[in-house]
Amino acid sequence: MPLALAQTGGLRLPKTVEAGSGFSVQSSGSGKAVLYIVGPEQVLRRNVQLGEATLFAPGDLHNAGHYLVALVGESSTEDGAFDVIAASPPAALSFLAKPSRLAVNLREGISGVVYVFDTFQNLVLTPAQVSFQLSGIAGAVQTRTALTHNGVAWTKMNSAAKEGASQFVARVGDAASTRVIQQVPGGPCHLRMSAKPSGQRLAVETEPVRDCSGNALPDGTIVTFTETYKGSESTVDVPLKRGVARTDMPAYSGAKISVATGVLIGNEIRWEK
Amino acid sequence: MEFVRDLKGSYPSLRTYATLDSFDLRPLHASSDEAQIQLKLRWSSVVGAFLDTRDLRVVRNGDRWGVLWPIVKEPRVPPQVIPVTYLRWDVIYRGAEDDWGSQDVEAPHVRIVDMHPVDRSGGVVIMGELLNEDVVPAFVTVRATLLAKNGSALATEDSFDKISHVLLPKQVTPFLIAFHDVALSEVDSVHMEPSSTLIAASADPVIEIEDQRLSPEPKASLIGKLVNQSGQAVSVAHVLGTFYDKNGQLIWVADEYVDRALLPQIPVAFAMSVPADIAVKVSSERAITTTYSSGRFQ
Repeated sequence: MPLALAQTGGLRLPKTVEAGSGFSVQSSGSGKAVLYIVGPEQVLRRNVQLGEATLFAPGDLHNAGHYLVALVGESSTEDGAFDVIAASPPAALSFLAKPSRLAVNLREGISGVVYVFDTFQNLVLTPAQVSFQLSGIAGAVQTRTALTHNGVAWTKMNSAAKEGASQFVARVGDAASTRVIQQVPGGPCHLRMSAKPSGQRLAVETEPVRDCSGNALPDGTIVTFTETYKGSESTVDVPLKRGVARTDMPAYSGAKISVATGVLIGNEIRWEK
Repeated sequence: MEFVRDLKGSYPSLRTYATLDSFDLRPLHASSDEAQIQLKLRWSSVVGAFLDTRDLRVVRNGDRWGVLWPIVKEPRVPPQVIPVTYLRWDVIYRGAEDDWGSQDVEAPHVRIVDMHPVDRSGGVVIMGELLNEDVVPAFVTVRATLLAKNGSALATEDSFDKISHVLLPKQVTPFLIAFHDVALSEVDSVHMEPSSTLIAASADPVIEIEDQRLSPEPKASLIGKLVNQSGQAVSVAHVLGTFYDKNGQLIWVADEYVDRALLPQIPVAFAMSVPADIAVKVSSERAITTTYSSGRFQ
């Protein structure tokens, strides 16, 4: 769609063309000439009859950018330029959501950046309203809006208090993009264990290990049991299985057994037969 | 056959993949009919050399001398099925054809929780501990750059094998980085770069480290026994020791590879040497193991 006309000598060009739209170039004079339109990743060549309008069909030009025009006749050359701008409305989003996994209860821990494109993958530079929404199994839905600046808009969100996957959606008009943010338990908050005889050995087992929001730490988390007895020590790194860590250790009367995970130290037991 | 098994191991182990580099013979006692010889076999492996010392009895039989080789018999595990139900993590990474804005799996979050540069034999040693504070397994490395007062880099090194590279969630590894050609007096600051990559891993096998204690001078070492609490034979076990003084400050990191396979529930001894001047300051220690099983990626 021609928005305005620019005249260079006898060459009448649109000042701007929306990507994908049809347009025409009017020349003056008589005789034959060749019209060249050169732009980003695209060159058009037309044999034209001077004095007539040359029509370009919708879709002939679809890359946004600055285009140079040259009309090469038998005795003279004319040139000009026009811009192709992104089509409206926005048709596609590139949505960068980081991180894809983070601990619960982190203020502004999630960032979302949206790049708005038209149907031809041109960055839409005119301001557009972007709505961001983060929703999960638990916790209130968080919504933010932001205006694009030079085709980009961004926001920050808080992670929820409960673990689980959340849908992070960015939307501009009918165009939307979704990312999944995995919110995982934070560091362990309390760690307690108990011990009981198991044959000739001692069975030690933690209570379910949780973070400070009550989320169970995932299976595979390492818990270290340490037993000290008469100057010697036994240690086992045990992964949580179904929420608890358990193992067998030597059953020495008078031994001290402690438990830790990461940098958290749990309770200590003195074992007496 | 027993002789070969003694030297190379009955199950795949570090011995299986090692080659004999050299040997020494030292007579301990000799008479006209028999002698006691100490044999030192120096094996070379991908993780360094290890020494195998045997006291041999040599007996004269006519005009020939025969060796009575003291066979070290490795225990055998009876055929059985051992169910293992520990967690395993697998990872699908983003593909080359995904949109550039598409998410990839997040690298595990790791943190250095302790770090000390010390002067050691005219060089600099950086010791510390690294925590995987995430909920997924990580392949970790630590790199350190020593910086001079004018901000220029004096040297860069990484922890190589003085670290447990595979860290499960909430697991802590010590690390040690040695700079042999830089004096601590030249160093103004240290730039630390821990890095982590999400990897497929298994929480199995679980290794208990029993009866650890510091054996005193003259040849100070941390000794103990490794007990494989899982069902799979472990081919190579790497033991890392972290040593603390009476104030709880990290003062040394040492390591040792175990040359025999770890079979389920069968203890295998290890001894990790500690410098004598460090050993006298040690008040407590912590050992961890990493393992490699033949025929299994992780």
